[in-house]
Amino acid sequence: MIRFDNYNFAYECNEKEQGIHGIDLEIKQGEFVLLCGESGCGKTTIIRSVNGIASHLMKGSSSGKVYVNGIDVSESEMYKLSDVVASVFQNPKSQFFNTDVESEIVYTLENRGVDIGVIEERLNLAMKDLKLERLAGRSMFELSGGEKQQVAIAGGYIAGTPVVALDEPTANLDPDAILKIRGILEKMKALGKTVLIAEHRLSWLKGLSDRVIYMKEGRIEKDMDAELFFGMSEEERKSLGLRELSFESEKGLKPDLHPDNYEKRKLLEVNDLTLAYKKHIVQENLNLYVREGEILGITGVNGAGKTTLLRALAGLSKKQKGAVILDGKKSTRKSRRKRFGMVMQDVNYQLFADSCENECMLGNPLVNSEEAASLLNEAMLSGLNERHPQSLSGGQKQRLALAVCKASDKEILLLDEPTSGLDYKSMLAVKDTLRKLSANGKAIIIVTHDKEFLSLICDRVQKLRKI
Amino acid sequence: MKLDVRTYILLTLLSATWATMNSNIYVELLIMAGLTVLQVFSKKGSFMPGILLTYALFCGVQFVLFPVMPETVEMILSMFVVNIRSFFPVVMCIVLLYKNTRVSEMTASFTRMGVSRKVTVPVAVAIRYIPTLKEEWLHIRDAMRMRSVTRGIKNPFLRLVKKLECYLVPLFVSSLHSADELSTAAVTRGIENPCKPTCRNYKPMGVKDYIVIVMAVMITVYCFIMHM
Repeated sequence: MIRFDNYNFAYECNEKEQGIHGIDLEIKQGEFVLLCGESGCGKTTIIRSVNGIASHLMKGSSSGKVYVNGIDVSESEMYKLSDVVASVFQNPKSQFFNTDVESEIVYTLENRGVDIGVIEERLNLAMKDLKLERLAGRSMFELSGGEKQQVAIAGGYIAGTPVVALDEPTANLDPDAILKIRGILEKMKALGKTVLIAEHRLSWLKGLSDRVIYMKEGRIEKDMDAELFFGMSEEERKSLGLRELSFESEKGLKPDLHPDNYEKRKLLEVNDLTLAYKKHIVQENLNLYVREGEILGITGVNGAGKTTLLRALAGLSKKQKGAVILDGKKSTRKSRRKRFGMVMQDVNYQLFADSCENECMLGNPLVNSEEAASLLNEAMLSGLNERHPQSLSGGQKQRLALAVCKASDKEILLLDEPTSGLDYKSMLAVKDTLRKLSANGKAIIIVTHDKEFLSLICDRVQKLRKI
Repeated sequence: MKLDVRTYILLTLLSATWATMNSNIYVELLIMAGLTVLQVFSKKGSFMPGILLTYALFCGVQFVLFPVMPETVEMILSMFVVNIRSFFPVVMCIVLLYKNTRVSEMTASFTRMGVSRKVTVPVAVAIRYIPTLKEEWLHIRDAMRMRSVTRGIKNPFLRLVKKLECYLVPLFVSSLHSADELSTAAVTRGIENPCKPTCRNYKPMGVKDYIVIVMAVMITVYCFIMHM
């Protein structure tokens, strides 16, 4: 179904992305293939070579051939390829074109000029098959990230293409949403579709993948049977720089206080807090605290108010009831905005300067060039002083945002889903940076679904229940 | 009562001529009343009382406060107040158009009218992008509130420039990314297919559309005659 004949692709002026070299690969019809490896290993480029994005839309040079269903990808028109390959991308926000769910699902069929009766028939069938009836008639903007991804995959399902190529579709999703995506992909597999998926989070693909391709520096390093791959030892997995391979248990949840922290003073206390999101109460009478130098993890299902809690703590939104106590005194929103630093889920919105060094100095007149360099060094960004913050990788941007928090002398740091889209190595780097900050006495609160990360970093975990 | 997207577009275009040519306040009040009725009976969220209140405020200033104000103050303010007031029908029409237009319906109508994809696609992307832009703006505002980017700058003008720069840099970067990702996604879904696309959401214009159009055209003709 898919064949790579000594295929090479090199990007023109792109520091972040690695091309691919000497790829020889044959994927049979109905195979479910997982592509994995560290960030920048070339797995996304493999996906782009199959759906034609690399040879048609990216600036770069290629040699060799890629065939999909007998079609030479580089010679074919993109719209002809869209009859053969359906694509799902990482960012749920920027891959939908229509504003309502049904129009988005049938978009490929409309572009093909398929008869309207056939479209309606296939749409009804797909909504039922994929259990998407609850989304009917809704605006795309109202949907959660997980629901948007389901709609994107449904678009591929309805298009009836023999190949589905997915590029990190779960990077921003919570475990419930991931399970729903898995359900849809199981159906696709049962229908005999060839599925090619690039991912960092691997555990949810256990039992679904037939074959796993591990890539390194643009080359295929291992091509394994999935059973063998998911059976590898922890040491081997870590040495390959991969995230956990099995569905994580509750081992990450540590309800007890870390013994080292017993003696430290409570920096923040929250008493009987009630929170609302869009006038809807999401938490009632919540109590929590964090001590100096402690890393507190907050987890819970979607809609339990995790991000709402962070926003209320940071003084960005109003709480309904209750008190936020800092150093034993009731605090105001304005005072909290001064003392809390926040790393948002989409860190792009909080980097403003034209270089990493200037980013550290922006709004901090007391930080000089030398101090900025040492802050960057501590955040494992040494040598990147002159780089534009927006040109960094996801993990590097997060670490830069943390360095900025330290530069502004923020005492309590709040992080919203810091590991979405990060590979194992970047996750470890974020962990190390956070550990250094906590050793300096900063209290850190992390909201995340990522149990692997929780178990790695947090001293204590508090679970929010949905009410 | 939802009208066809073409009716909303026509209303918006004609409202611009009303704003520039009409000088009769009673006609303008009639237009505003008509548009309010359309908004109230359109999709939820189309009726924005805030706009009407602001309009009433402008009318109040012009007809109640101006007569009792010193003439020089009135002279200075009247240009501003009268001009802004007369553009309220345009705002009302834009709200109607924006709140009631689904991208798919608009593309379907445009395609049926034979408008080239070179026009439909950019317009559709622009409409689809407005809510994203708002969302991004709010994210940046939050980030700015957590970080005093202007600390250390004393000159108020430079502070403003710095603040503006901090809003615009991430906004431009994310817009570029979004535009790139959006067009890539659209291309992989066959937007370049030269065949005639299916217009699933196409609905022909109904009687209510024609009634609204006839009324709008009558008002335009009246404004034109009075202007002459």
